[in-house]
Amino acid sequence: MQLFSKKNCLVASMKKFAYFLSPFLVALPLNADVAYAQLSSLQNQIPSSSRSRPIQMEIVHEMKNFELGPKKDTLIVKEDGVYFFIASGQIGSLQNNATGNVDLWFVKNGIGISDSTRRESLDKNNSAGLAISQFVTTLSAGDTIATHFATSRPLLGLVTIEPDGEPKIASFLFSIFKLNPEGELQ
Amino acid sequence: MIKQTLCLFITALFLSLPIHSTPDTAYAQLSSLKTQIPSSTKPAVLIMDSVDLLHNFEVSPKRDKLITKVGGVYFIIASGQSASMNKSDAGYMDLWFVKNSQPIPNSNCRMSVDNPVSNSVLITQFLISLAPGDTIGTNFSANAPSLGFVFTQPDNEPANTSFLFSILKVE
Repeated sequence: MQLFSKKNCLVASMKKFAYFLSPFLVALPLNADVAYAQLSSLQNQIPSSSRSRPIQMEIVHEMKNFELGPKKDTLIVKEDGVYFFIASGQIGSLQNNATGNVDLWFVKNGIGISDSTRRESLDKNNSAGLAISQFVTTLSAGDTIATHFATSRPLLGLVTIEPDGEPKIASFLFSIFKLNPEGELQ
Repeated sequence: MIKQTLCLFITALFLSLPIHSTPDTAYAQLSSLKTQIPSSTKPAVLIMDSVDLLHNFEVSPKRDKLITKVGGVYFIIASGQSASMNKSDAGYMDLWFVKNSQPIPNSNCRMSVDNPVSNSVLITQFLISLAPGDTIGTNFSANAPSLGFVFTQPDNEPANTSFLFSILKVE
């Protein structure tokens, strides 16, 4: 009788504690604000003029808490935070006879991010280079982030290469991730 | 009834534990102080002989790959100091990631070494899922002899390593 009573008491206590914890556990954001994306492009992107244009990133390798815009040239942010991002364009020419510069920079909500431009020069025909830029900035839910580029010569641009016995060389790589999953920097 | 309540209690307790601790943090910084010239135009494996920082990874005995200890999504970036060891050789070099001995699609990048006496940096980066036991490494190739990743030691400056590799867990 005494044992039965003790058991009942223990059960009741544990039930009470479990029910007490439940709402807190449900409310806790278990990695809810982690955000990252890895995108690339296998399209040759050669502008017809020296005007700037957005870079396509039609291949999604990894994506969490982002959305790719309908034109596949913009990411839409879902989580507020401070983000690190890095973009690299494989610079070259399909004609193998172009030299000049390619500039690459980031665009947030349709406006170029100040000081984010990087330039790569190709001094010789038939050569390959990389235009790389990286940045850390604050992004809010609903913000868009993209990469634009411009070339000094019409035949220059971002090219895809298929070497024998190696993985394809993407014309563009874009990586982004949130730095502060627990919100310390906000 | 006792079993149910116990289960609920233990589940609640375990779920609440890892939220504010970071037991699964993982990162590594490695480099190479050796000049690495491929013996042919075929893909070669990059050696990371110098470990600058390592947490929740293991370096393979040949020092050519990292063994993952904690599953997650990782950001990786690798850069090689490309140059020619012979003033008559020019060409290009490629650099890409390898997961479990398989190349990671689209991770390849190319840099020309047009001027045999100049140096340039070849970089690639990626975000990828890794599970415990997965290996991650970097391969490279050069289309001309004497092209490779070169170590130099400038006066009054840090060493110019032939290769740098950084990895950190994002999720």
